[in-house]
Amino acid sequence: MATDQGKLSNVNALARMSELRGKKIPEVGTTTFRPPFTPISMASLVGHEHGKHFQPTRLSPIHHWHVENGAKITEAGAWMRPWYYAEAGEGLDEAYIREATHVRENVGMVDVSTLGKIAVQGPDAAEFLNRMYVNGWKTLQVGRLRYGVMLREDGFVMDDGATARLGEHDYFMSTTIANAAKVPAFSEHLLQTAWKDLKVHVTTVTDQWAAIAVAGPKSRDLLSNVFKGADLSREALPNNHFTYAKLDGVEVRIHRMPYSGELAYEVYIPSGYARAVWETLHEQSQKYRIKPYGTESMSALRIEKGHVAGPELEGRTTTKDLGLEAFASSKKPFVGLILRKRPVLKDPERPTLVGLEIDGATGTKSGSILFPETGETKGHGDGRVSSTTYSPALGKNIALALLKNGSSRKGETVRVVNFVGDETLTAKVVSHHFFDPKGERQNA
Amino acid sequence: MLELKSSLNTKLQAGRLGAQGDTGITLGERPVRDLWQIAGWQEFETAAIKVLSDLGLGGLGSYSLASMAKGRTTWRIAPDKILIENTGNLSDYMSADLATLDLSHARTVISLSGRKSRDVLSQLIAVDVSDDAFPEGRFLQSGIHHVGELIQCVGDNAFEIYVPVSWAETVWEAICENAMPYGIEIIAE
Repeated sequence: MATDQGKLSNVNALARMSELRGKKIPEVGTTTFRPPFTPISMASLVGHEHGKHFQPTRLSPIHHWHVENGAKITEAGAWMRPWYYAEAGEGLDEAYIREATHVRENVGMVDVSTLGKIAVQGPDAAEFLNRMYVNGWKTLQVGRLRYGVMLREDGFVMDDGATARLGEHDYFMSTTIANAAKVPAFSEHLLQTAWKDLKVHVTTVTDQWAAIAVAGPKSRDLLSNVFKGADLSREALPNNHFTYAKLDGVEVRIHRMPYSGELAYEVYIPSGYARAVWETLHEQSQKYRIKPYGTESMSALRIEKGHVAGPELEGRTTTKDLGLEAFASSKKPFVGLILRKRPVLKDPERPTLVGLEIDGATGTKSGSILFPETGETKGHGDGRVSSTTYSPALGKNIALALLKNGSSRKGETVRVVNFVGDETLTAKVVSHHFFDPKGERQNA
Repeated sequence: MLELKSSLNTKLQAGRLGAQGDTGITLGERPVRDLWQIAGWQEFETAAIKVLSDLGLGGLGSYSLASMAKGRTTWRIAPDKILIENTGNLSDYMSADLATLDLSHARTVISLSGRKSRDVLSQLIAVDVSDDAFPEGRFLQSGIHHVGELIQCVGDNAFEIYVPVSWAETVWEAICENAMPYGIEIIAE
């Protein structure tokens, strides 16, 4: 049944049409009515209550610790994730600002078990990665990891993430949470059709490995104390390297890669032991002042640092738009290579990633439209806001945005118009690397 | 040693759920022993047979019948992939012809048994699970509540369901919801 073919909205449409034409409904004519022949309530059309069983729910192995310790939970796809850990009397804003500040000054830990994780195995694994990502993989040594960007076949950015080389034929790829299913499905499709000659298997290992990101200036001291014997010094474990460590007989893998812009590590743990490792880290709260932080402060930290995430990898952006063009190799083919050269994607006026410092005490909303400081407020404007936060480090509201000719408009003032909220703000266009642009903190 | 936590920790409370009277369904969890995947390419069968032989196991097996020997179970889940439980560490077999992968922490095994267990399964998956079609030893790969699983018949009206750990609670709840009318007894170790 289509609602517009029964005597529901169809009757209203017929009445409106007859009114516009100045005739009675029978003179305009009616359609052949289908059921329901009499109006019925909307409640009788909707499905019955499924509660949380409308779709399956996915939980990290540390999920119940978060709930038991006061975390407010938010949905991230099928996952339930800690949004923030409210302390006495705190709402969202107070909590995430406190958490993000704490990470910059001390050390925090966040459950990132939700990252997509894929085992890429086989003698052609490096060749496979070379074709999937825009950047090169043939030189990656065992014990190291590398950030990668992959495109869809139409040349737009599909996903990004770090991949570690565990062994000669063994790689560990991570994806964004949103694309944790899409990337292996796309990989499998290519391996079974276009690339049948490649000796590669891809297997999802998201459930095998939990992951805890430990970030902040005290992260090295804390982890060195917990994982006795692991050399996490700057010399032994620079960024983009990983090492193995043990805790009470359980082997974990520690990656050094920052997302927050701080000295930071990701600890990968066999998932059954994840809660025990999390609790062991948390027990260091007296000595190292470690605190858990949630997705809201994680987002605030990455926006301050200028890292792109889901709101920027939204299917309409290219490597050039996002300031990632330098990653794209000119020496090898990869998915999306041909169609990324389309003239429309080379248009110099395409919106590119910029930072915005919002004037005044009010933050803006994602999806707000950017217009020049003066002139008409109509049409699609010069760009759009993708991610917003209050920056504790800068003490002001900031945003990431995609702005036409963005790279040449630094210092310009733009209007930020939120049509839904009927609100107009002004903002200064700046580099999207708001915080520690030289990377001194993450390279400490 | 650190505490190993089950993904069903909050669900495994011994007791009764649903309809009173005779229990139609028994639910519990069986801890996973080492669970490894071996996978390969053109030379997969040769490489896999070497591993299986070293483990005291027979041939490559069929796509619907689990092979069991020496306390180990193998499932041929694809032409070029086999799952093996209770193997010990297989990482030394990694080569240009064979990829080995530890999945011991990736799966939760839900045990479902009782005189109404086939009724519950038939409500959850679109596969014939009658006595004749799905006898002891058979396995299948299907989905419960949109989550992919491997399900094996391990005895008279007894099944083991291998669920990715992050989905274990939601699948457990979906099974319980369907089993309530039959009366459920939850076994907690």
